[in-house]
Amino acid sequence: MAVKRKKIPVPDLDLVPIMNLVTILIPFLIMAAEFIQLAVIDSSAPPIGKPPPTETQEEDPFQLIVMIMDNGLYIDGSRSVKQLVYGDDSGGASSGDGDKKEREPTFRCTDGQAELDTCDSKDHYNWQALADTLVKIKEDASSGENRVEDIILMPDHEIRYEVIVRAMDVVRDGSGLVDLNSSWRKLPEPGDKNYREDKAPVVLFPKVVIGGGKIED
Amino acid sequence: MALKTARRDLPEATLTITSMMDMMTIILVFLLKSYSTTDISVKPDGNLTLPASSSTEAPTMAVQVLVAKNRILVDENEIMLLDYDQATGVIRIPENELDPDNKLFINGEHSLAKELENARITLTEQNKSTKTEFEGEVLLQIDRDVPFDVIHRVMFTAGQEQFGEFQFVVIKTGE
Repeated sequence: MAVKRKKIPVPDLDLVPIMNLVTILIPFLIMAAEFIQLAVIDSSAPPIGKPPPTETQEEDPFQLIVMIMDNGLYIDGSRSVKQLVYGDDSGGASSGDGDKKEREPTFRCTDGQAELDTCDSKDHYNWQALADTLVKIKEDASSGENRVEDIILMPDHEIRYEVIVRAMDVVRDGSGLVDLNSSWRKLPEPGDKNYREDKAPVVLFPKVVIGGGKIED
Repeated sequence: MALKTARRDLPEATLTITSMMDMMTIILVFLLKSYSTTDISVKPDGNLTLPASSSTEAPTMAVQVLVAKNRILVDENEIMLLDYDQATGVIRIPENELDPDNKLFINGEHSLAKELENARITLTEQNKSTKTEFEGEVLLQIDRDVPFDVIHRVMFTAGQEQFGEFQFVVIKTGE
């Protein structure tokens, strides 16, 4: 005897409740959405006055200053920094006489092909040369446990904020212009006397202090 | 002769929402990815364009000082207007807003210093109840074309009111 097979109708999935949920969620998520991601760059106010004297006062305490001028970048600081950058303590060339004496920038403005008299945009500054020099200074100043991380930025009064932000990016971690992962810069492995628990990322000078005004001779 | 029209039971029309579900699911996934958990926000302002930076550090809650091309706000309250020349792009703090004895101190007619002092007092009172210390942090949202001359004065004024830790807000370009 033939058995008749009943066809069981497959019910359609009811999507209406899910649609209700999605329709309510979407306006809420749109209100809370962040289409532009924000970040911050930390900086501190420059200290006022001389630091208190310590028992072991270094003869030439490390100090690194980068001045941002409208015609380029200038590096100044302690004697060791000047020796490394300029080969002597003079701090590079200067032009003019008397009260009108002005420092010549360490790295002049450039459009990639020729030097310019003034930097009209943040891309005209020679950030590559600055990053390369900062790496050399970091190599020279860092030894064992001594990790120098402080830098002072001194922009001229007409320098725009986006140039200052670009400078902060470059001095903090090179901003992709230099490879900080070469052999000498690798973090010490566990067991090495210089090993640090916090495994801080390799950086240049992350502690940025923004100061105002030009340094007078 | 009456025409007997057979009543035809029309089948119920069903709405096919499968394709709409596909679209909603994709939008939902995208919005979940863009969901923000930070308290810091930037309100659209024609005179405030933040610079881009490679920094990835997340902002923390602090007193917000916004320096747009034409005005300065503290915690979304407009404090003072700036002299902004649209033709030349020059931005200056009006002379009457500066302290006559110290041109770095914005303590003139509308007194940014006074506003920051009030913010500090409020924070100190709040911290007493939570037994936390006053950190002295300030979030600076500054337009990318503002000259350092203005920034320097804002930072100096904040420093005079015991705000010594600055967080410069930037747009993250990528990790």
